[in-house]
Amino acid sequence: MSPLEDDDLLPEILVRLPPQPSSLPRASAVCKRWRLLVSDPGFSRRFRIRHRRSPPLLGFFRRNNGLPFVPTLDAPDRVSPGRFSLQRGDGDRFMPLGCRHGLVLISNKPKNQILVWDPVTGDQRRLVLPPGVAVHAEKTSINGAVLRAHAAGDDAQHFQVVLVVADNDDEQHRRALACAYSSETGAWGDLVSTQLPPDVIMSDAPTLVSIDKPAVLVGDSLYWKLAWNMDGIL
Amino acid sequence: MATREAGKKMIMLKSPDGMEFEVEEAVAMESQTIRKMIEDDCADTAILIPNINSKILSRVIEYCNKHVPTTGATGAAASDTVAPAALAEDLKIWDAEFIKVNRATRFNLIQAASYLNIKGLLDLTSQTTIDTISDNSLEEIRSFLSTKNDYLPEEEQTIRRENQWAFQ
Repeated sequence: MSPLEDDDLLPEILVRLPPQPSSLPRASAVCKRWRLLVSDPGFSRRFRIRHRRSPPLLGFFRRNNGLPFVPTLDAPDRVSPGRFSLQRGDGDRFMPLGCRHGLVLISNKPKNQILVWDPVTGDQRRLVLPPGVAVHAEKTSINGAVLRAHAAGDDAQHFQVVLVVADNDDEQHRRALACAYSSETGAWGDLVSTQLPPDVIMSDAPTLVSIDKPAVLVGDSLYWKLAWNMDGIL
Repeated sequence: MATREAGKKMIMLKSPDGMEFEVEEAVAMESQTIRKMIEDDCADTAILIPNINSKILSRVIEYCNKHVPTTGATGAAASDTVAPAALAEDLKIWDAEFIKVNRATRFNLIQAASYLNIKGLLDLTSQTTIDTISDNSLEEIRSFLSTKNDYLPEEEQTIRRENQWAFQ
């Protein structure tokens, strides 16, 4: 018997199909057994875990209100822009803050909300800004980052959001504030703050956490750029 | 290949067609299945490997011999002189030569790697199979793998229509 007829070995082989978007739809058209296998949730999970370290870059989102998707792969792997379109409600104004681990983090300032969007599944989670951040978000810009909490070999769907904002209320003691949300607990953690060094402040203008540059994740730490009246890294 | 040193434990592997292979325990333990047998003390004199004929078993042993870590309890001599990157590159070239076999042999190797639970060999054999079909049309894949298309023409049309973009 060929391994391709063996129900234990076939998944072992097909899980190594390239992670390109067209792989599984094409495999499912070979025969009924293949279709049954690749549409099995257990198989999709294995497929995702296997290719997590080398996912294809499907494209990118332009940073404007409409968040248009720009595909970068050629046919047959080109994902049509309409596949990843985010519906806006009345009064929504979207400002993308960054993407990571398949999630997009969007600020919706008019509603004091943060939106976490999974373009592939279409899932959205709207979070209300924690009060400690919201009070400063009115005066300056907020930035943030989203990441998935992956345990080893686990396919956890839980995510974390970290928001940062500058607090310029006391000009002598400017601070940067951060607050983290975990989808596992469904709650924001305590506000943490750090003093910004006064000696590098170059003007009286308020300090901002730059929104031109998304956060950089290095190991277990996130870094943001500080801007306007100082150059620094948070 | 390293000369056999005194004190190295040897294991006897038997294929169903009656051939016997004497291999170092460390080499045999590249197979997680055999490792478990040894650790559970189920391997006193010889281990019978069912369903894997001597021709395939000798190839599997050849693979394990090459891939057994050169460092460990018996000394770190090999890795002192060869950089890990060069070693990995050497293994890759060796693997590419090793897998130049016909389809039937490769399929037998997949089955053996799966039964004996040798991750590296399963990766190599399965990935090679996938690589040979990835760029082909459905008809080519079916004929290459002797897989029967059991869809009715209209069923196949529906599947293609549902994911039209993937067939462009």
